[in-house]
Amino acid sequence: MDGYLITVLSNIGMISFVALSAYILLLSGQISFGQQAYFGIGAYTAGIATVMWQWPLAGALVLGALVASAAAGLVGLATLRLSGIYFAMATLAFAEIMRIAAELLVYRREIGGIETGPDGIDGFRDIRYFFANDVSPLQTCLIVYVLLGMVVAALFMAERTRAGRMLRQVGEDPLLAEVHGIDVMRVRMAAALVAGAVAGLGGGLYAHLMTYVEPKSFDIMLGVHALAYGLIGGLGTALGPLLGVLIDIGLLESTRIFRGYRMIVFGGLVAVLLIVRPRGLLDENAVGRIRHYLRRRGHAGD
Amino acid sequence: MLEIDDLTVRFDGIEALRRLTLVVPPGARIGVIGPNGSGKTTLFNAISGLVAIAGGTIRLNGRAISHLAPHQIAASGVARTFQSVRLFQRLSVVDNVLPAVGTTRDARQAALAALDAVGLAARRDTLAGDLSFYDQRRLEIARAIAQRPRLLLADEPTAGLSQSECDHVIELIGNAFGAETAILLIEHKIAAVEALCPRSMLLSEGRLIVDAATSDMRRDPRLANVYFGTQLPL
Amino acid sequence: MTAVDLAQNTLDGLMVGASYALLAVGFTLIFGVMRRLNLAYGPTIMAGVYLGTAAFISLGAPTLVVLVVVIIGAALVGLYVERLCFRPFGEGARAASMVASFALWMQLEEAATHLLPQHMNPFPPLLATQPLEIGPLLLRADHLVMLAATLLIAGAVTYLLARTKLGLAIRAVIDQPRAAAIVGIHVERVMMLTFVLASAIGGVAGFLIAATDGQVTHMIGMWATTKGLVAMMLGGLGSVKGAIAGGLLLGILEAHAQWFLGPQVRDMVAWGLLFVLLAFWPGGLMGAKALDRTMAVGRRV
Repeated sequence: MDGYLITVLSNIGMISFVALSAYILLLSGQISFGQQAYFGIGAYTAGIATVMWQWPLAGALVLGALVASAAAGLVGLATLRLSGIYFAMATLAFAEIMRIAAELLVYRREIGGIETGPDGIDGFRDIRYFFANDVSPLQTCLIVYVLLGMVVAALFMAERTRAGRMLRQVGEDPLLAEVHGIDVMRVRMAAALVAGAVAGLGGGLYAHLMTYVEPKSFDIMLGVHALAYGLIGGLGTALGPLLGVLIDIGLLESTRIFRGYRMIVFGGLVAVLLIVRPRGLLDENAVGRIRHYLRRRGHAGD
Repeated sequence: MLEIDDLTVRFDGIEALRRLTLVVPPGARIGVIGPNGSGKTTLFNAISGLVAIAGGTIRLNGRAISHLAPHQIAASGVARTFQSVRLFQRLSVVDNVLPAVGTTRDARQAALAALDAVGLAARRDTLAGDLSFYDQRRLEIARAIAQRPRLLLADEPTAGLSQSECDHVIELIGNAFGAETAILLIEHKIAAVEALCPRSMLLSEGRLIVDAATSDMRRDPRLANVYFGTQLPL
Repeated sequence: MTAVDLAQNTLDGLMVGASYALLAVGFTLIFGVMRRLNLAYGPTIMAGVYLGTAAFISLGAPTLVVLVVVIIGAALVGLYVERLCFRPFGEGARAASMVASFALWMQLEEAATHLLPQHMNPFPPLLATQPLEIGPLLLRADHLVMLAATLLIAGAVTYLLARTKLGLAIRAVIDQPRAAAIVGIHVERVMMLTFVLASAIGGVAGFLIAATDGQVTHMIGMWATTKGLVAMMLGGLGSVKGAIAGGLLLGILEAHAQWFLGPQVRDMVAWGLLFVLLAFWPGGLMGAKALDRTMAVGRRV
């Protein structure tokens, strides 16, 4: 495979994590403008772990996901009872605080004779784990997709459990869910924790694939894009956000068809698409019909 | 089983319920009637924990529930339906019924049984929002059945239905719940109340003014007075 | 640190806050009638300002003409945003509306960079006079104009809302769109007019900001969206007065934070204040019970 294609595929995979993160919260009925914060926290944490503390990659990625999840839990305590624009703005406020904190974060140490570590607004360079361990771009791409596949599979399975249904019930009508015996706050908290971990994991991969991160990569643009992917691709299944990422990065950005006019075309297309399908291409109706079709064809699938 | 003592609910200075006292024994079926604004739905909202109460207590099986969260009240055995049908519109029929209580396999069985009881089992994979209004009403009842409540709060379950649909829904509610399940039924159609509830109570301006056998209620002059008259005979 | 510094900071903050206040007024109007977030508000303003800049650069248009171009440009682009992102959606599709407005944000920004590819472009200054000296304090004349314009517009909007037929219709739609329709108000038209009005106000804000800076960069779209949003939320999301107060508060806060803590921490302080307000005192609304706000709706079931 040629290098450019691998890079594009890797990018699609990494951004999918933050799109899935926003999607999980969308299912719980909350619009977050701040999932980029957990992506960033995961990126910085995992990067620091491999570079400064010489951790192995797996441990660093897990740590990044855990720290991001914990941060999401703390933010959740303060914000989950908010709804609508209040929640959206509170999450954005947190993400901006984190981004600026990263601009102020200087943590430099000499590792192997070279000074390294996060350097404020200049970001965190030389996260060279893959390079140092002779992992080829193709292999890193595979790592991204194996992990993404695991997350998507877990979400697929969760959709079929009580927890997954409760999540959608809460998102549909929190009051009805509550009267129905569901602890809405607990479900939302669980969603926030999982969403934080998924974003954090993606962030850890991002840091190692890009080999450098900087605070401005985690600004509101990333957060709103993440939200948009779910709504473009569809909220009926975890494949929806992935489809959204694929359309934007895979089809438009990378093929360079509309070079220089990409957003003019894409922006208009998205607006028109949402008019026709306000819950995305793979919305609940479409997913229901696909499942029905698959069942009739005798394939497995529910 | 349900004991309400001296319950008062206020909205912005208006007393929606005034010092209401009521005892509902297990298995009782009680009609709740009264003109719009008399406090019927507020009573249901207070029991299910959706509005804050200003005074008094609500007990379920001896336990005070007035300060529990709505989901805790639901878990202790209170189910309800809404006057304007309230469903998870974008979830399938069966997902609407799968209760939050119970384990997965049992819950699925119970859900399917409940759908069967209301005649919607064949449509289990349809999205709730795609059902006809009548089917949506029945789905709401199936949801309540699956919850196996000790107390059902049915808020005008026949509103918007034709006469025959209305009869069927009342029959459903009468048969689908166990003898131990108490039912409070808000209704404007006295015939529906008569068919289901031996006892009924009349609310007016937030007060409970008559609590009597339904057969006597129809003849009670206060009923006509509350609905049509100008003065309250109190 | 002296009393003079404090006073000067407060004064500077007040002036910058005036522009925030205007942005917040526009946001509040749109959010009031639509109950949805218009992320393309800043880029709408950017489009107007860029059209004005282009007229200035290529045709040498005088300041007043530039002002008119900016206002009309912003109003027309606002109309376009309303048509594509808000009118086709019901209130039920809040997220779709918002994401559509984000898509147009991207679109407008790219279109603007095609119009003026340079990062920084000259903009006709408002008043190129020396700053006024009031005792030890310095006061820029153009800042004074900005503050005056803000108060004037705020007054006009308040008058419009309180005293005119359109204002009554707007208030009715804000309160209860369905009831407004039943009493014969053309809700869609009221929404459209409010949207265009808010965009025009945004145009004035954009003009004043660019004119006092004497230049405009492609950051102005994002800047206007975020500052306007923060000011609106600080003001409590609901009244013109609140929006003005929120804008001025944000301006003053930022001026002091910048002076004492530097520009990065300045932004952090503003976001931090917003976060704390939302988390612990959301709009001064009820906050005791978890689902209070949802339940307020539940009362009407």
